[in-house]
Amino acid sequence: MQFATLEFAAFFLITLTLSWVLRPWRLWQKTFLLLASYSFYAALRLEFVAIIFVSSLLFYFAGKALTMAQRKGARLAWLWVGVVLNLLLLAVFKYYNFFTDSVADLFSLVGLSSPLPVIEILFPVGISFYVFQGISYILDLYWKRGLQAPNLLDFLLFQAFFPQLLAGPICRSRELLEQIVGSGPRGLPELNRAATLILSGLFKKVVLAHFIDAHLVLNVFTAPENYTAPALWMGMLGYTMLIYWDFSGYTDLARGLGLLLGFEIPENFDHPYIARDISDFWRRWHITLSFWLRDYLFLPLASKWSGGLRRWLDRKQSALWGSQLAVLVTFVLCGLWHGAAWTFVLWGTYHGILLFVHHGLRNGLRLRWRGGWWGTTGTLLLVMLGWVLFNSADISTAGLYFSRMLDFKAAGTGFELLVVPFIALGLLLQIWGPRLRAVYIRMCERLPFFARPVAWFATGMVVLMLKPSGIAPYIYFGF
Amino acid sequence: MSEKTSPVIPPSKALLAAWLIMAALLLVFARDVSRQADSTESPLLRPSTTTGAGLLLGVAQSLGVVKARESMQSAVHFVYDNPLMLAGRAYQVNTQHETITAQANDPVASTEATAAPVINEPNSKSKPSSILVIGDSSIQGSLGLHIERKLEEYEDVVVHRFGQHSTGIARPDYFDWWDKIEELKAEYEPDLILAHWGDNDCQGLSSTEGEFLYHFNTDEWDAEYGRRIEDITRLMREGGCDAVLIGAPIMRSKSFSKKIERLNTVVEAAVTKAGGLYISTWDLTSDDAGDYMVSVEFEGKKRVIRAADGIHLSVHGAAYVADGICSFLEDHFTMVPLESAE
Repeated sequence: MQFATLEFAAFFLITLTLSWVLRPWRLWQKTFLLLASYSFYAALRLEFVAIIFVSSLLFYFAGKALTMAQRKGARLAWLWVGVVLNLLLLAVFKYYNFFTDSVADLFSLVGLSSPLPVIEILFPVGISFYVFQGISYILDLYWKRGLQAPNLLDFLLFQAFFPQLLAGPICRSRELLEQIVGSGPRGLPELNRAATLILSGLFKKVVLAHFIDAHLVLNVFTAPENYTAPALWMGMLGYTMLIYWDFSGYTDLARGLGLLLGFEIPENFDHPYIARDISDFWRRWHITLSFWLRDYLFLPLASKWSGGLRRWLDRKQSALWGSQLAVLVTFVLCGLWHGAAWTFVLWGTYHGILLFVHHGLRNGLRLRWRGGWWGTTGTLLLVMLGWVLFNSADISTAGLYFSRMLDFKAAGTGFELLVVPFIALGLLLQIWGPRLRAVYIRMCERLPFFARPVAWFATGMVVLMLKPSGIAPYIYFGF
Repeated sequence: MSEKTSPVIPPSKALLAAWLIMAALLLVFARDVSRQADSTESPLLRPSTTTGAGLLLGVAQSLGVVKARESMQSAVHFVYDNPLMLAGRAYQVNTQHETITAQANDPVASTEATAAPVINEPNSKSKPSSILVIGDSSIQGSLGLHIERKLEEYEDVVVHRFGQHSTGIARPDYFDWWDKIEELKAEYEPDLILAHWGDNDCQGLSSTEGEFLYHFNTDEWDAEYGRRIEDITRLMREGGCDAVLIGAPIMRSKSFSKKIERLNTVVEAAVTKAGGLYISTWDLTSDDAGDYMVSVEFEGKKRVIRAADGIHLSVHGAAYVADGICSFLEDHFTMVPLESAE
């Protein structure tokens, strides 16, 4: 069930109504929301519900045992149980076929066939998100800074809450779980903001992202050899905007729907394409994931390796090199998290190298990346080149794409003139988007209450009229 | 500039607003709701859903909402579907086509009327030099790409490809393949067309005006779909071009497989009747027992050939099926691999 469909609208309206009707009986309200979330997930595949249920049980009971354990060794053991078993789930469902393919390729280099069995495995949509969310829960419990779920129901709902189940944001226990455990709001304090977020999400997804995908990106990336260099450059720009609109559009919808149900879901994007440098980009892009990587991977690795390097280097040098190595490893794993293919690993490595160079220049050589428009444009160009890797079917197609981009004499199909204003609008919204949203919210606030639904409906109709035919799937559902 | 606002709205007011918006949405999209209701598979539920949707559509039409929305959307889609191209090749747009409604109402007469003169018999072993590959998202994506790359390994062959996701023969109101084929034939003058539809066609049939005609899994559906396949095959074959239709593969879901099997049977009979050729990817993707096949030994390695959804082909699967298609073409046409030519 995709968000931008009448079926989902009907499902959500019924869920919203019953959720607020049950509001005085908080336990029943939460039980109902959990059942609604599982029904939403089961509409994709019934087996997915079993997988998230098992994963949630593992995290919950390992976390419970961890907090009850007295000795540090026992606490660590329960932490490993919770994390390792869930990572195994993730590895099997997401990476098994990638692993067997890669092993088969290696064996074939020496003329042998791989001993690993080839089996068809379900890919539970959203597994990367809820496993990482669960890992943050149990690690925060271990470090005594998180909130423990007082009962299984609260934790199951925290993991399966349907607005953010399929593609995040990845919530910390102090963000979403705290609200679930609490008594919840008596009314809707943010109705205008919820409506604006939903409209914004719909516009980004069903108009902007869908148009660019159907009219440019899909064709250009499938067969780059058929397109001229200008078309490929536009394709690169187009995908840069597409992935942002697709993912941030989903996040806006998730946050708007969450607000209507009485929950505040964190923001996941902060105008990433006006980032000053590559570090700044990762503070603005997929914020919940990049902060997860910082807190649960980068900082522990940097601390451990800095300490380890003290044997050979002074304090400053060991801190620098420890963090440099940690950033490389973190981003290789970030790439792998995004998908079971070498193009994603290469993309992550590419960003790791960019950050390695950026931090090395800044912290080591005291050189600064040039700021202002030059810095922003340069950063955007580096990010866009990475997106070509990210979206290519394989490494050879990415190589073909890059080589064709530089061949301005080659003949082929061009690009539609109409994609230019779409992309220009997307770039302008990076700068003026928040102002536009705030103006819209203030405008709605000034209207009498009965006129607001009319304004929302009229805006929604403009969005839906501009929608191209068909429904394109969400990119991040593949992760 | 902060987006946070403060006035607390009572849930009852918010819910009333939400239900009113939903009611308005249902009126505006009444025709889509009616289509969904008509396609309800359960014979128990269908009378109540179609009655309710019919009432809704009646109210929406009397308010003029349906016509207003469709006019606005037609204007927008006209701009989207008639692109001005930059920095490369552009398409010629051909606006002439026959309406499907008239033919649907008189299938016998229309079959006789649309029978075009057959220039080439199948199995003529002709040597195609310009091959057009068309179809739905499978052709737009991986399968089409691998077919194109494999065909380029033959001597004196130029390949053109056009795929459009979410399309098929069942909904000419959504996308008119007859129109598109005329346009592409004028542009590329192919002597062989490879076409694949079906993945999106296990649904009710509509006319070009969007009027619902027949439910899937009925004899009327089979007759009308078969007629459309015949008609489109003859259109592809006009001017001496050969036409080959690629059938849909087996699916993991047994119920979906049954539907595809029925569709493939209709397609194969219709294509053959119209003088075209039919390639079965069902046989390529099922094992000796006729069951869904997950992996296959291909290019010296065991590869998973289906995507996680049990519907689409994986990247390796697309390469494997493309290989099978090219072997079929070698059997029926004169296709000289570039290596042997050298």
